[in-house]
Amino acid sequence: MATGQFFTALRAELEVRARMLLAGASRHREGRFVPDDLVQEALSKLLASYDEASLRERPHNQLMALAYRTMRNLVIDGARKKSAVLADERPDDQGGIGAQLAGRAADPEQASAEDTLIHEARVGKMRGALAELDSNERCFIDCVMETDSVPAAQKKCGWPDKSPYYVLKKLFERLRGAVGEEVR
Amino acid sequence: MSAIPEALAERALQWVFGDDEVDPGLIVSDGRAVPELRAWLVGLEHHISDLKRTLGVSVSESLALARLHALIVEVERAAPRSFPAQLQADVAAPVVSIGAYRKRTRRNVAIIGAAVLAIAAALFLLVGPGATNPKVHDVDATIAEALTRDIAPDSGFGFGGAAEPTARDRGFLIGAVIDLSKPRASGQPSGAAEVALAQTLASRALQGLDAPDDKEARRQRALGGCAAVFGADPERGECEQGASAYITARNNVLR
Repeated sequence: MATGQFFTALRAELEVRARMLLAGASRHREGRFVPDDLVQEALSKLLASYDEASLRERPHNQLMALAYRTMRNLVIDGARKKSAVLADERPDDQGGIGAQLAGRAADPEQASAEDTLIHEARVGKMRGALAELDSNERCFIDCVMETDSVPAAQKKCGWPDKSPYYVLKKLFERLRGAVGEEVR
Repeated sequence: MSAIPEALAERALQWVFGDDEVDPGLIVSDGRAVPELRAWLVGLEHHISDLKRTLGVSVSESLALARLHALIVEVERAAPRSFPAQLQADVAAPVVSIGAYRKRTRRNVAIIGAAVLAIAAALFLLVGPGATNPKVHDVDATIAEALTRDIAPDSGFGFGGAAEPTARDRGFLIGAVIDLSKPRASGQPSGAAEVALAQTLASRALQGLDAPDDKEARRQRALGGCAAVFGADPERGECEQGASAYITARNNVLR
């Protein structure tokens, strides 16, 4: 692969990761990176630390793992420094998704009566399904929903002992089954 | 209906609710072979939203939902599309209003201001001390010194003299041209001085290449980035490195 093609392909892979890495930070506008800049910084860092030949020789998975770690560390460093590099004024559909999420959150005042009834029925079923969980399961699911973190929930509840993501997946499947959703 | 592979589903959950140990790019690339993945993720998103609302937890502030939604978007982008589906998506794409366009392209005024000062220092090297206003260094000594003493020598950039710039130098200059040409944070387009400076730097970036005679046309070409200047030429990689170095230099100056 020619140099140009290699960097084009690497950049494309980095862009995917940058958009996802920065998705959760989109509401904290001050000091956030813009995906394009994160990609550029990561490329600079990679090229400063490794020569091009060394990067090209790596198996794809290893190169991607290295690229991802580099970007993740840049984001962590950026958060630590709290550097106000850019205040991205682009709308969220161009660089972030905070507004999209806010927009998709149900607004009871704008929902039709039918929607409200359906929603209420689902909430009722969900409450019933949650009530049937045992104390460990309930603690775990409550904590995951509150903190958005499985490691934090596992630590707080002391459960499950192992494979917490497998357990979470099974819990989701049970709850979805209980409220009548299709589970695959 | 086929199921989502357990390992892939768990990795997706690990990305959404984990501590960044999982590379989400690999989920996207592996997901190309699983057409049902997107539907499964969308269902999961709805389920988590319902669960959070039932428990009285904020949906709009959720990091997990933000990540999950970003993953859905990327899986969708990566999915191979049939021509009719692509056409339908293109036709359905909303027309971007002028207001939205301006908003989208706004950047912090500090970037433009600092970039102008930084490029002024680069220009100082480009055209030589005799032709440059000596007050450049008085304007912002920190930025000027950062570029002239630290960044330029370490990276080996040689903007001055008549020698043809290297591909890396061209990339650095192209990065600067793009920055200078962006609208200001206020939404106002670049000023005449910024455009003129961008034209000068674009001319230097394209020096020795098959470039248009008109200085504005040269700037427009530089705005296309390294791809527009080098196409598939192997030197494009070096140009990209130069553009990356510009971004790094700019950000370092601004920090």
